[in-house]
Amino acid sequence: MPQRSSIFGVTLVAFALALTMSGSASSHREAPLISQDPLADNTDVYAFVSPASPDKVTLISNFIPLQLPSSGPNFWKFDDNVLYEIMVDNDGDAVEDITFQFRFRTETRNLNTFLYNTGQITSIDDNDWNVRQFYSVTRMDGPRRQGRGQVLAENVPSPPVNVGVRSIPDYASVAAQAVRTLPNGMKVFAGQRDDGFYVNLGVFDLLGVPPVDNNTPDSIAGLNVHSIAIELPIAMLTANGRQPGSPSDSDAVIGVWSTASRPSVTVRNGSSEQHNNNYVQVSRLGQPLVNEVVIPRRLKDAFNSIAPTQDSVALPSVLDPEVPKLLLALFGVQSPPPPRQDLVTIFLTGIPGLNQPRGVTPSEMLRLNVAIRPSANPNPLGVLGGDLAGFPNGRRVGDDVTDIALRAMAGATPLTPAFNGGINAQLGDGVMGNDVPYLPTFPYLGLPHSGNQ
Amino acid sequence: MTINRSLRQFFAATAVLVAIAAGTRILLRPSAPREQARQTSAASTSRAALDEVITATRRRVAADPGDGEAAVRLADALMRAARVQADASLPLEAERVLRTTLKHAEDYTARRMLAAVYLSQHRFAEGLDVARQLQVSHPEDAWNYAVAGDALLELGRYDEAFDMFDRAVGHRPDAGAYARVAYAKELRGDLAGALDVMRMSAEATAPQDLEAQAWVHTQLGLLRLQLGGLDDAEREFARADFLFPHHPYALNGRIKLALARGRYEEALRLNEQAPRTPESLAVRGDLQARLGNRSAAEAAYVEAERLERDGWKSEQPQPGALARFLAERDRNIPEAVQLAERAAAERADINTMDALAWSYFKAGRLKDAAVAIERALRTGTLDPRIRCHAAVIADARRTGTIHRCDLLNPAKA
Repeated sequence: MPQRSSIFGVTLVAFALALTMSGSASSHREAPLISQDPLADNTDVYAFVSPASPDKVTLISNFIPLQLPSSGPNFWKFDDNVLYEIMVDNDGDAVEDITFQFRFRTETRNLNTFLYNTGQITSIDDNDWNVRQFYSVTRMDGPRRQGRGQVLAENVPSPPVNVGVRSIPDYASVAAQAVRTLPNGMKVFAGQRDDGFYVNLGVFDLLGVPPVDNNTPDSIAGLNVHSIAIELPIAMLTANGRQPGSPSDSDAVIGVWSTASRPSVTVRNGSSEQHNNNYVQVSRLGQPLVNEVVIPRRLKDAFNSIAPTQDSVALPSVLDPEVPKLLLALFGVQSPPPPRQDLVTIFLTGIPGLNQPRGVTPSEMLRLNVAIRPSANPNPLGVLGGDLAGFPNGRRVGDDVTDIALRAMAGATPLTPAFNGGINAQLGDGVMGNDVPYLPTFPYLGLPHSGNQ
Repeated sequence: MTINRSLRQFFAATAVLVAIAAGTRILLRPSAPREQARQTSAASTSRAALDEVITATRRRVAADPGDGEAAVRLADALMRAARVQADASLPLEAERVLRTTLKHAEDYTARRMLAAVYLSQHRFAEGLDVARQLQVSHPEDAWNYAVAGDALLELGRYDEAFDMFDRAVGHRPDAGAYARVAYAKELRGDLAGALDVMRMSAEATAPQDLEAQAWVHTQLGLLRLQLGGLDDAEREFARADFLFPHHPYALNGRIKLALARGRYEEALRLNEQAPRTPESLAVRGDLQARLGNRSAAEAAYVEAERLERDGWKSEQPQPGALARFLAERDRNIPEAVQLAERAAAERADINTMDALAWSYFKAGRLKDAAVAIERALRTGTLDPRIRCHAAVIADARRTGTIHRCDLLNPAKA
C-alpha cells in the first residue's frame, strides 16, 4: 500500500494578512508551513528479476502520488533539489552496499511563456516542448554518503508528462524514446507512469459491499505517478559480483529500499546552499506494508527518516500489530496471537530458504532472491499463490500486495498453519488487477493516463 | 452466519485494513483517492477550489464541530482566502472554528493550526506560547519550530528565531522551511543566498498548489527586484499572476516593479486594482502626491489612517506601522513618537525600531533616532527604506543637513 501524502492530505499554510500597514513588512509569515511534500513522497518500490531479461533485475521506485492527469498548466515533475535513491543491501547487514542516485535538472527553453509546450510534441527532443527535465544516474558503492561514486548516465531526458493527445499524439512513441540503454546492458527510465498499484476502497461502505465475483473497481485507477527505474545485470548487484547459480547460493538474496532526501540549509551559512551535501531523508519505503500498516502513525515521520539499521523501533509494532486486533474486534476474524514472529519473518528478515539472507540483520526492505527465475505465468498472489518469483520475494508490478498483506496479517501463510485457511485465506479487496496494462518490457509500468481523457 | 453475510464481513474486514493501510490519507469513500487528488493534489488552491473547500468544510464543521480534520482544512482555506481577498473576518472565523473543535476534544493538528492563526492576527506571544508547548509534546514536528521562529522574528528575537528555522529545516526541509530560511537570509542582508534558498522553496512547492506557487514566485520577484534584476522580477510576477490570476501579492510586486522603473502612472493604475487596505491606500496617496494630485493624496492618506485605526477594533493594534506611516508623511509627529514608543515596548523587530528611529528623527531627537536606527540595522538588513533612514539620520547628525527619503523608491534616494 503506497504512501500517499501527509496528514489530512491538506496543504497546511499559515498566512499573515496584508490588512494593515504592517502587511508587507511581515510577508515572511505568509510562507507556507509544513505543506504536503508530494515531490518527495515515495509511494511504491518494486524489485524483480526482469521477465524480459532473466539475467537482469529491475528496480523501480515511484513518487508524487495521486496525480490527476489533467493537472495543467503547471504539470508535475521531479524536484530538482531532491535526491531520489534506490538502495541495495547484498549481504544482509541492513547497510546499503550499492545505491543508485537520480538527480534532476529542469530546463525551460522559452522563458517568455509559461506553457509546458507551445506545439505538438512528437519526439523526445521536440522544440515545441518547453519545460523539460534531464537527469543523471550515479552508482555509489558503500555507504551512500561516503562511498565511491560512478556516474552511469548524465543528461538523460525524462519523457514529457502525458498532457493529452492534442499535444502529444503518440505518447507511447515519445515515452519509449526516454528509455536509455547504458553500457553493460543497463537501462534507465525516469518519468511519468500510470500508478500500477491497485486497491478497492468501496468495500468499506457496508451498505455497498462489492459483488462476490471479485470484480470490484480499482479506486486509484486513472491516477499517475512519477517513476525512477533501472534494469541491470544481476551480477552487478550481488556481493560476489556473479550471477548466483541457484536460489540457495549464499549471495542470492538482495535487499532493496528507496528514499527521497532534501538538502538542508542553514540561516547563517553564506555559501551556495544548493550544492552542499547535507541531505535530510524525508521519505523511505521498502515493503508495501510496514510503514503503512504496521508502524503507528506517531512513528511514521520518524520511520521515514531512519536507516534500516535503526529499524528496531519497528519491532514492537511488528510483533504486536494493530490490524489483527481490529480484525477480531470488528469482524471476529481470529489471527495468530502476539508475538508475531511470522510477521517479523515476512517483514524484517525474509523467509528462510526463500529470501532470507545469511546472517540477516532484521530490517524493513524488499528482499529478492535473484536466482529465482521469473514465472512464465505470474500469480498475483505471489508466494501465497505458489509463485516464488512474486511478493514477498521482491515485488513485481502486478503483484496483489493488498490481498497478500491482508492474508499475512491474518496469519494465512505457511508460517502459521493453524490460521492458513478459512476466512483468513480468503481476505482480499476484490480488485483483480490494474486499470492499465503493464508493459512486457522495461520499465514495465503502464503508460500514464492522458490529460484530456 | 450465511455465506453472503460472511462474505460481506470478509470484504468489510478487508476494507478496514486497506483503509488503515492507506492511513489517514485516503478518505473512506469509494472514489476517495481520486477525490483526494482533486482536493489536495490538483488545482487544490485555485480561487474556485478554495471556495469549494470552504463551502464543503463549513458544512462538515457545522454538522460535526468536533471534526478536527474538517476544522483544520477549513482554517487553512480561510487563511488562504483571507490573503487573496483581504477579508479580515476570515481568520477570525478560522480561530473560532479551531477553538470550537478544541472544546470538543484535544486535537493536535487543530492546536498547531491555531498557533499559526494567532500569528496571522499579530498575536505573536500567544502563538509562540502554543508553539513552545507543542514542541514539548511533539518534538519531531517541524511545524512548531517554524511557527515559533515566525513569532520570535516578529518580536525581534532574531538569534532565537534563526535557531528555530534551522531546527525546522533540519527536521524537515521542505517548501515552508526553505522559505523561512530564505527570509532570514534576506534579513541578514544575504540577498543572493536568500534567492538561492527561495528558489529551492519554489521547486519544492507542489505544482498544483497554485496559491502557494503564486506566493513563492512573488517572493522570488521581490528578491530579484532588490538585486536589480527588473526583467527577471517581472517574469516572476507574471508567472505568479499566470498561476493564480489577480493574486494581490503578485499585483503588489508589479506595483513595486513599476515604481522601480519610475512609471508612476502605471503604478497608480495597478494600485487602483489592489484590495483596499491601509497599506495600499498609503501607497496610493504617495503616488497621487508624486503625480501632483495633492487632494487625492490627502484623501487616500486619511482613508488609510481611518482603515488602520478601524482595523484595530478587530485585529491586534499595530502602533509601529501607524507610527511609521505618520512619521514618513509628516503627519502628527507627536503621536507617531508615542505610537512608536508603545510599539517598541512590546517588540524590537527591525521595522518597529525603524519606525521609532524615524519618528524620533522627525521630532528632532537625533540622538535617540541614532540609537534606534542602529537597532534597526542590527541584522544586517539591506532594506532600502531602513538604509535610507539610517543614512539620512547619520547625515543630519554629522552635517546638520536634512535630506529626505523617497517614499516610493527609497533605494534611489
